[in-house]
Amino acid sequence: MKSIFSYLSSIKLTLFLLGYSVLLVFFGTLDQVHYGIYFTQQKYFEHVFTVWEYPAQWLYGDRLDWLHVPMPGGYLIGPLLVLNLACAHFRYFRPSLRKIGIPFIHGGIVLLLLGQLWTQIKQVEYFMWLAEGQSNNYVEAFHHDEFVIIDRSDPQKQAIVSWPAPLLNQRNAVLADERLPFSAEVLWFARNAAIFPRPPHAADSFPTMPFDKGIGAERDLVALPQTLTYADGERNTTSAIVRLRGEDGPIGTWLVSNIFRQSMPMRESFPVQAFTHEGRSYEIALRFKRHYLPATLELLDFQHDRYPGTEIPFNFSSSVRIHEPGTGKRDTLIYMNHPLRYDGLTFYQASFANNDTMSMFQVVLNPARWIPYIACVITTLGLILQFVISLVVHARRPKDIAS
Amino acid sequence: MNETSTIDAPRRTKVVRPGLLEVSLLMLAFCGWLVLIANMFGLAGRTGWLFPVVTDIPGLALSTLALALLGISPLAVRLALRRHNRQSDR
Repeated sequence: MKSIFSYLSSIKLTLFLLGYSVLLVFFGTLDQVHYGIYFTQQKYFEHVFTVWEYPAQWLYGDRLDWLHVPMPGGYLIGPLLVLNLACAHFRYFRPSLRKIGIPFIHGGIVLLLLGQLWTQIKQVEYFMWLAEGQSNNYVEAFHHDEFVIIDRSDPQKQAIVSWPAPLLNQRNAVLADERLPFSAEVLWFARNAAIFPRPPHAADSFPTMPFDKGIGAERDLVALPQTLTYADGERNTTSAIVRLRGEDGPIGTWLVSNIFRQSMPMRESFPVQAFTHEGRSYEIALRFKRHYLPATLELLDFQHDRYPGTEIPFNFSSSVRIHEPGTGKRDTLIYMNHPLRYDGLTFYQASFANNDTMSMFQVVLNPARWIPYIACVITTLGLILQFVISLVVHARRPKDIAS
Repeated sequence: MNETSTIDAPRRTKVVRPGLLEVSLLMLAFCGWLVLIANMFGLAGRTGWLFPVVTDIPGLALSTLALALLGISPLAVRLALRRHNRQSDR
């Protein structure tokens, strides 16, 4: 037990872990070129173990494709570093007034690491497109999808039953909810699919599709799985074929997908697929995961300012009106480095389209966004304390000894 | 009476300790072995944060073996040299 404690508190372990961190960052940077920042971050820093694979695009990629480098991931290195620092602190630190700054410094660093872990677990990134004059009360996730069935029978409000898209990827998945008089049986699921109209001249070249309702059946669409895309700015077309089954048997089979056309910069959403069952109106969809806001945001005006006489932009800004139920409305301006903070979300000016009449906001939900600031204040306080104490001790030392 | 005394030559029987590079390589090989086992038994990719899914299992196995050999080889060479030195000392 003692030897484990001494190993966990050793500087050798610190050096190993820092070395592996460098390795992780190095291979992560290499992969970022091919897989984009989101996937790379997930692969290297949000895993306990990870594996780097020799890219096929590199020199002799066809001969060296067997080459893998397994290594510890961020979720192993980070906690071990915290453990190492804590063990070293309790092993070597002898409390005294002269060293009162040390616990602050160590505590600040540990808090910084834990804050990063919290951010990685909890942070969600959304976006919101608004045209001038348009308003919206939800934001959509960049990387998550949801399968929803919406009860639209009440014109005043919608009842939305939602399941995260990964639930559809389970074998023989059947999704049911007590609020719905039917269940959804997943016949087929693809994390990325190609959806296109069946070509008239090569109709037999593609398999028969099982859906008999909705846009898929109406337009005779074909859905085929394809390899995942990791490029920045691109998004996988998550698709599924779902059969709804009531007490009396099957109601119908639909093709659902989060994207209809990969147009840039805005992707075209899959058309609304509505149906009626037992006198009630429903809508079925696989869409970007939504986060509903307690207010409605309206884009009043988008400004794309350029330097006079040039096309070089110097400012993008969106004038936004927030309609809050009960408290009325208020106007705000969102521009570069001046985001809107509302209901735990931060709205950044991110993009624009349609001849400067549409604005896109990147919306970040990060409950741990204050942790780095607090950690830095604690660490700085510790450093200042330690420095001042050392200075005082040095100044009080008798001059003959000092000389 | 003649007494003979024998003084042993200093024995060099220290354990061959692996260096920084060897330990690093062996740790990487250990990680590879764990990922390999997780993939072979279908554990990889279940949680989304523990083991990554690797499609090229033979490639990973070969790389793990290569890393292990690279880590062990300098140790084996040092051990062989030590034995050789000891025998030549005798």
